Amino acid sequence: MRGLVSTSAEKIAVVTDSTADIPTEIVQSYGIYIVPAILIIHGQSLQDGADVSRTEFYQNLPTLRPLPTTAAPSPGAFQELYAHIFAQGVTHILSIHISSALSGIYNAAHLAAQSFGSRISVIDSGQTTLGLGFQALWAVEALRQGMTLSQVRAGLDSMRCRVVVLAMLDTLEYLRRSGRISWARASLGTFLHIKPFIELREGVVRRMGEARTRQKGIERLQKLVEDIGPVERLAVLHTNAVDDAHNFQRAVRTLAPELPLIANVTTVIGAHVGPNALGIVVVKREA
Amino acid sequence: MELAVNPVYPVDGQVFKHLVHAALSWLKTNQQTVNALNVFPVPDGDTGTNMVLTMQAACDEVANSNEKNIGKVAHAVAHGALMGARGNSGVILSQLWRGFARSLDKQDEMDGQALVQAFAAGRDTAYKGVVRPVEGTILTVAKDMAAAAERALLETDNPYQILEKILPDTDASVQRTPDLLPVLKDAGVVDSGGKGLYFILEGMVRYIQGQSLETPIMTVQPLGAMRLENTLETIEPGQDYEVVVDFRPFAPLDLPKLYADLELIGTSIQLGEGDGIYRMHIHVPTDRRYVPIDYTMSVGTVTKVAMENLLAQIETAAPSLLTDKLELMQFTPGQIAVIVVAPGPGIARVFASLGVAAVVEGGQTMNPSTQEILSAFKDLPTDKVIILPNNKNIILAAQAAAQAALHLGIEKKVVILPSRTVPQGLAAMLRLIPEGDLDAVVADMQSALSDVETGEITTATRSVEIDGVAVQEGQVIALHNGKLVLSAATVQEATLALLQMIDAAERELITLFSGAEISGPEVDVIAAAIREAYPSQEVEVQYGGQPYYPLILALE
Repeated sequence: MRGLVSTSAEKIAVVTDSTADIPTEIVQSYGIYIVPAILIIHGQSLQDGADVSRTEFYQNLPTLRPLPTTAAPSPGAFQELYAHIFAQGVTHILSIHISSALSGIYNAAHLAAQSFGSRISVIDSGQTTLGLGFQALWAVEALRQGMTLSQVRAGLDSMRCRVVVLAMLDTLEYLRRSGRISWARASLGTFLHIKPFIELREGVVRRMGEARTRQKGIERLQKLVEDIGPVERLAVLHTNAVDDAHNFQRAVRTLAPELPLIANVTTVIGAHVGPNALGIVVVKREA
Repeated sequence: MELAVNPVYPVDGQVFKHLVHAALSWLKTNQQTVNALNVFPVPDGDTGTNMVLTMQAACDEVANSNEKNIGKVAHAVAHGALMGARGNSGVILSQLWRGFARSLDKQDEMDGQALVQAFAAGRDTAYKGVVRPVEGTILTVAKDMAAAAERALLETDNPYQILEKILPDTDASVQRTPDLLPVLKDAGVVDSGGKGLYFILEGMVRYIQGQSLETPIMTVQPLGAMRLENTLETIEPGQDYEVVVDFRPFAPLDLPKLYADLELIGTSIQLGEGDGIYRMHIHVPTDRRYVPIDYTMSVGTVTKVAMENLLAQIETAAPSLLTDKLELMQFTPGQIAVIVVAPGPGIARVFASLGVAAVVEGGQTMNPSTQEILSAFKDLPTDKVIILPNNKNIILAAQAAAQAALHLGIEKKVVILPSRTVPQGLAAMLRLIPEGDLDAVVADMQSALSDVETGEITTATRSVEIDGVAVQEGQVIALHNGKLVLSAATVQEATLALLQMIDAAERELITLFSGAEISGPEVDVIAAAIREAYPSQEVEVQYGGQPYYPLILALE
């Protein structure tokens, strides 16, 4: 496990999970520790990011039977990592993770942290993919600027409500089969051609309407982003829809101060939304 | 596995190891049964698989150990489970083992008293390990198991007998989970994690009693138990045909492979067996209706084939379907409620799948009353209502219903969005954000009305000339966005001419809603003709069930 310790006086390390979709080079330069989530294909446990190529995974997903499932890393895996980090002279760990409403990862981290007392702050980001990633990055930036742990925690608390993930799925099928979203389970899509929109905000996945065709859907996604208002950070998400993602990056780049990152989304989330989805992470500017 | 239990007790580390291994074997055997229960949104994958992987890690930890001390073996089991814990149920299971092991700390052997204490400790640790404990889950089953063990201890100190005695109580606890967790009740299942825990206990008991742990899973049911009467509302999109094939296998069936193959062919798979004859049931799309038969011929001699068009069944069941069987979205108080008027059961189903709060039956010839529309929304637990009339003749009744609500002192904001056709109503419905701001949502839905072109094919009820189009009574006519544009001899002719007139080649998607009076094969022929004429457009056929209009077309 690679990673560097942040340079604040308290010697704080930031840990997140692989669903954060932080690009490898940023993980290294920020010194963030990543715990891989687990993907189960044909009964085999694979580490998200390490054992599976995303491109290949999404290519195979439509014909993969039984459908792959996902799992949280064990509390033991967290315990080991935490112990390893403390052994390097770190005094505190800030462990920020995918929404506890979507995954057991937070619970596993929370359990593991119990054996280390108050030295570990486990935080539920209410988000995933770069919605989580941006929060972890902000935490490192804030620590480097000399903020204390409690200041960073407070900062994350106020940031959480400004982070939104919006996505257009190519089909409702994967979300429905995953069984995690009650309304998706209930709404047996009657239309064959339907592109559902979803929003993730503070741990809640909401239905945001549908489009019948992809082109109309992409136009609508853009409008939904524009309606959000002033933006601090953007990232374009996709599950093997590379061309659409680049086009969309061009379409929205003027909305944010920096060029939006593009991420081919973690397989652990992709298994639940299916291939060919297009989405965006928005961190709203503070009012 | 050979029987390793010595009838004498207390239990030592080696016997405990075998018990845990038996639990894993039996859980593995029943893994798919547990997975099948995993239908509600508890995070992280299939419960059966997760619990097996967790137990597997626990067993691996002690597989090669000759340790006699039960405290040490239990700790190793708990450590393995913790390291291998997968999913919420796996994590809770690992916590049960952790408490169990702690309670046996420093003990060489386990008597009944120690077993009962270990169950209690496991329960306590598991409850503490969960951020927000939920009743009706594996936690509840663990709690009931511990309580049953305490009762059993009053009768015997034999740990094996205690395990046997608490098995029925544990089963009863699993069966009660739907009463505690409404989501289970809605889905008609028991809790998967609780069931997994039951199999763990049952595996130990079967081992004690010398029963097999490798009985194949009951994926083949007795023929009499197969439930083939169709619940129409569960038809999956596109899976229009039900195919039932009776066959005599050439060789013993490789069930996992058979199931895997069938899953690639269709849905709603069931397999039954009686007197060596197997019956396979499957739902498939129309164009693949012969695939299951061909496939079955590759594994056995086919003795009987039955095939039914499920859409045709809906047609016969239509009247009740609209009123009784429509599965509406679960509606949360405070959300925007959309009320639609739908002219046919199929169209009602499509609207329902998009999240409407209520459907009022009605259309071209049967306009619903103000009262009917009012009744549909007046008691809904929200103050935000949008009505989609989907017909120009119903807009007024909808407005009247809104007025009536006002007079009755019903404090709701009711907006009539003047959709004049079904495709317009559907286009608007796609934009619904249930939690959104009412004014913004209405504006967005309003703008969507122009996203779609509507075509309607019907028969002229009298001879007339309108807008320069002369029609004879009985002729097929086509309307574009409600305006008469052409007449033709057949439905197909009218449809193709209309598509040409409204530049279908410039569109992406053509959706056909077939009416109550046109047969499935007729629609298939027309759809094929459209696909041939517009090879780069997607063509989708939906059963609409509307009267008088053989086809309604939506172009997007």
